[in-house]
Amino acid sequence: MKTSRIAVIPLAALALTLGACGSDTDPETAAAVPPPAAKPTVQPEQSPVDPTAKMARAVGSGKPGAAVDIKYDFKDRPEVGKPVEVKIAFIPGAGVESLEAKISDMDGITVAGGLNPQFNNVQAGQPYEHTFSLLANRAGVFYVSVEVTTHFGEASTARTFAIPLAVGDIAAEQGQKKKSAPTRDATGEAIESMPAKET
Amino acid sequence: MANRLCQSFSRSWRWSALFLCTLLAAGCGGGGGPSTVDPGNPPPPSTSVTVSGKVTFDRILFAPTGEGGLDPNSPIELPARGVVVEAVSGSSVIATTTTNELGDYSLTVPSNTPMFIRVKAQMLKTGASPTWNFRVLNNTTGQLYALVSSTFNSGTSDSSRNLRAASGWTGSSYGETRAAAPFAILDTVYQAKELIHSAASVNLPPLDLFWSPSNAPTVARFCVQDGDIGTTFYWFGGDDPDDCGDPVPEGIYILGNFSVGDTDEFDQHVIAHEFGHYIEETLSRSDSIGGSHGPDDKLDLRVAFSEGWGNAFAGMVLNDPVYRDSYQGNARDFSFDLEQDSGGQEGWYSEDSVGEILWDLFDSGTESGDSIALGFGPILNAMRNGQRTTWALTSIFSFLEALRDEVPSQSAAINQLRNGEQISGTDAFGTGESNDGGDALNWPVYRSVALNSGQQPFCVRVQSGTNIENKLGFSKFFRLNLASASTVTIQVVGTADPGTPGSVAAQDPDVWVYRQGVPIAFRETVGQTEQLSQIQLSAGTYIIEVYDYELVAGPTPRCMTINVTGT
Repeated sequence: MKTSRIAVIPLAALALTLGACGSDTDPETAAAVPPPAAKPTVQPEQSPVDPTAKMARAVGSGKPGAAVDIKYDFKDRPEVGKPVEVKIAFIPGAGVESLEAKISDMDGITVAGGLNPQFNNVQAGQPYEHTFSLLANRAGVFYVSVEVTTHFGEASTARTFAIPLAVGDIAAEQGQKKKSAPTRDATGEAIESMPAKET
Repeated sequence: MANRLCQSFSRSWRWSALFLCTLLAAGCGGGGGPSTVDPGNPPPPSTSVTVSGKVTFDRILFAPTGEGGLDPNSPIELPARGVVVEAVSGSSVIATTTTNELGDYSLTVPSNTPMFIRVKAQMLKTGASPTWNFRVLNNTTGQLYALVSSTFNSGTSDSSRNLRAASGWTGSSYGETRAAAPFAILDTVYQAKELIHSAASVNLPPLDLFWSPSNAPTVARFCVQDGDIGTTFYWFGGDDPDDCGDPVPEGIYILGNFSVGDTDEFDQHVIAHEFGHYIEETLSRSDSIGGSHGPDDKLDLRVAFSEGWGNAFAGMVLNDPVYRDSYQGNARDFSFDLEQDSGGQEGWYSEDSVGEILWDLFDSGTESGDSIALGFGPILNAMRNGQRTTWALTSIFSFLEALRDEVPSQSAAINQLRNGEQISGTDAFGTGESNDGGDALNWPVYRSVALNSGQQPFCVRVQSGTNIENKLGFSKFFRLNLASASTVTIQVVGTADPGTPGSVAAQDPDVWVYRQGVPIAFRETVGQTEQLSQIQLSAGTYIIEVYDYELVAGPTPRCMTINVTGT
């Protein structure tokens, strides 16, 4: 299946693997795209309306960050009490001269090995690989934090990546959590109350 | 109107009317100040009392030294401005108002009544222009954040209740409820709103901002209800499901997961940058296709403008050209200064250049190459007028043309700034531009194509990098002028170009057609030939975008021919 590039770009920017907005239907017959509210209104040139048309207008514009991408691979499925090797590839973008990273764990997992890799004189688009080990202390959903700082000219920018991992069988718990309806207060509003400091 | 309506109620109805009147007063432009009693009204019955006070939040500031991150141990207490305040008794809201610019509120409530004060993370103004409705919600629960007092009895005399939204910082992490976060976000929105309304009294469409302590920069998984949001971003225009199959509501999503390493609720430039995207989309026009970006990227011209606008808008809102973004929890930050050349890319494809030009247009300072100080008004006018209606794609070229139309007497100074960023295109289509971004295949910015003029060869290439779909060189743009309504067929065929050494045929061309930024037609089927057949186009200018879906970064040009026929 071919996926619409226009729909994919913002999602890819968010490091997504969305594959649901295929456009290998006949887009020519689905060409008229409803103009969004802020767009100048023009007479539609084509009909009928493409049911995926709004996807083609979906755009996600993220904050500025370092021109670097990462890919990762767990050598084995993470299990409680069993160390697993994790390989990361840092892929710098154009203009990046050097990069460094800081790999961090969180409560429930422990990372070890080289946790501050550095790469100098990097070439854009080339993968720079690094390996560390991870030990899960309990079951659950965790993240490995990878903070990458890139250098170009006299400037530096950074980007943080959170690598998700699930240890143990947490699927049922996740599904249950996702489907829960918002909690409403006595007035019927979906409110998350936070206590104030009062004087 | 609300007060006149209230006066018409008989005395016996006054208690019932009190609640309604309070609501009306708040909903009809009462925003911006505490509710007050109209001098023409009789005083409220003695069985009512006033509960008043101040609402504040903790703002965590950046450390004074660059890269030092935030300083959570020394927050400052700031007023929560323009937020909705309610008195709640049992299951009823019995009075409502909004705080003024000092964070003050005043509510008239029944005496001897048990109640609590609720401050919604919402700025709301309805009725007369300008109007707005900004909310901060938890994307993992769908709930609106609210600061609440303890329950008290209103008693028989006026009383004061000051409420503070604390940061929740407990020395080395956020050990308590992070109540300040939603109000810090709204405070940045307040400043952005003020900037807009200092230039024009425009209604601002509703905007939801989604923040959660769970919001993490997750890779390879995008599920907003789980907090896996990837980065802080503005999302609009689609009903796409996320990886968990749930819809992604439009709005601004903001990182908040401290343990995973990046929080943005106190990064004012980040929030204002995303708010800038909202302003661009709702008051102006954005043709940006989004995607990852930074000051060291050579970007698609649409993306370069949108992101440079976001950076500059943030500086204008905060009157501070130094963009700072904390990370490593909040222990570090990176920054760039729109007033200085940072070493990033320079040209029409650079968000760095766009940001620096826009900032210099705005700021009052003048330096070498910057002899202009327009303030925000002309910039907003250009965004709302010429930039919104341009026949070209939205870019620095179209913006500068729109601005020159707004302030023609400043054209020379505007062009001086433009030239300083290695940009020379003289109109909305970049006519005369000589900067090809280091690859001759990127020139010219737009090619012309005419009906029945035969095949035109062209090539695309992105020489290096990642996520190349929104980078310079991925797409080629053609300008088609139609003097009258036409039935048009566009055919693109992947084929090596003998005039381009080392070129190969594009594997999978795709075609989009835009009219004033609106996609009119597209075709994205698999294969080396792509054809849009017999599309009905009215008179006007169209932009045809062509790219090779299978393009990968590298030195090899991927080539095609385009042929536009019609009657």
